[in-house]
Amino acid sequence: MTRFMLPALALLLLIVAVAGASHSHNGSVQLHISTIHDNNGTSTAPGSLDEEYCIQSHTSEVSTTALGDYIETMLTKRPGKHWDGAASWRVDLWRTAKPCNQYTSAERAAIEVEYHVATAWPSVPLCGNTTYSCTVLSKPTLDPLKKHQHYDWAVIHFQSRHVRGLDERARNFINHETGHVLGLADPRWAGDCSESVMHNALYGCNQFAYVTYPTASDLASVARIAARQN
Amino acid sequence: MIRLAACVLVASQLSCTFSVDGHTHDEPETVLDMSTALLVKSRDRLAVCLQIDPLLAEHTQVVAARLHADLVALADAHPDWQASGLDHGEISVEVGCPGGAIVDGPISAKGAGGVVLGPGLLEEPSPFRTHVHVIADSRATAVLGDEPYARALAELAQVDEHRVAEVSTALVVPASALGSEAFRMQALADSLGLQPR
Repeated sequence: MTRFMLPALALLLLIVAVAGASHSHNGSVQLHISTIHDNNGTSTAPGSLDEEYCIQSHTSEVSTTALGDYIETMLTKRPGKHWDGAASWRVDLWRTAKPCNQYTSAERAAIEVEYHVATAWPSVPLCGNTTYSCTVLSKPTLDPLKKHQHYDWAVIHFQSRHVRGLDERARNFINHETGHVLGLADPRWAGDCSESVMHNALYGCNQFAYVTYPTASDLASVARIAARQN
Repeated sequence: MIRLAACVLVASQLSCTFSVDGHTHDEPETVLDMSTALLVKSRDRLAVCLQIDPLLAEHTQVVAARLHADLVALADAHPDWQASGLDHGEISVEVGCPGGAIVDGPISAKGAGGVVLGPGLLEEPSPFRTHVHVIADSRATAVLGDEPYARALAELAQVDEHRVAEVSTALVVPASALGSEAFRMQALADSLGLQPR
């Protein structure tokens, strides 16, 4: 019996090790924003293949401006610990000048990512009303190289209590949900932990509680998705 | 551990329950298929449902036939039809959409705040990639404003714990748009993830 179990256990350990190494990079179903594959902006203005984002608060607990300033700092002003510039600048994040609701429908259609915050999201699937921050991907389209489908829009719905402190906890949620927009997945099971903003203390991985920002591993995963290597 | 090993080795394509450190967590098999514009594994051909304005009820079959003809024409004309994986099986149009939603005003295209025009999140999405809502021309301004058509989320599927993705699109058009090239190559194409032409 032992003779048969040892190879099986060795194989299992190998599988677990490989799974751990690949953490948030789990194969073909890595749904992502469509602009991730290219970049056509300038140093002063976004192009159609960059990622523009708007912010909207629906609660007095945190203002649109305060949250917007914080999100912008977390996404673009923490060199080495932010998403901006990932995948050789295929990820190029630009905050819009105005809150989401101050754009016409046509203008808003050109904004790829929206960050909203409220004290409850009773109608958003998987937000659990007042429980979870969650993300909706919409407008599926064909990849220009015709390799897969991806999404033109992402809407992040934050619970106010997750981000209103504009603190380390808020940074964690902002970077985690943005990771979803860029194609990264949640842990696949309890204990699926690694040094990743997708697999940290938000999911009980307390040994990685210090990870509230995209790590080198996260950025490498996004680079593979951007290069269509997933 | 043995259960995990068996799950990985024997049934890697099935839903598995893992048990680690005393916690269990289901990893559901995804219904998504991002290799085709049908988006869902259980869809093997393009099926579209038609939700018709009650004001147009007596013309339902005529509208359904027109919509079918427009889809066939789009299949012939759009250069990415095959690349999108829409060229398998026969195109079908069925009267009545899941949920039977009726559009009565402007609707958010992006689903912010959970706005959908259809059943929303489903464990098993319907066969219909697009829900076409045909409204009476007399209501077009109230619903569409100055736009020729509108889109919204109709059905969503779970991607992971707190992330969902659109797998069926709602398309709202006035009845007079059907049969036109603009409807086919822009509105209808857009609702299928094809570049409008």
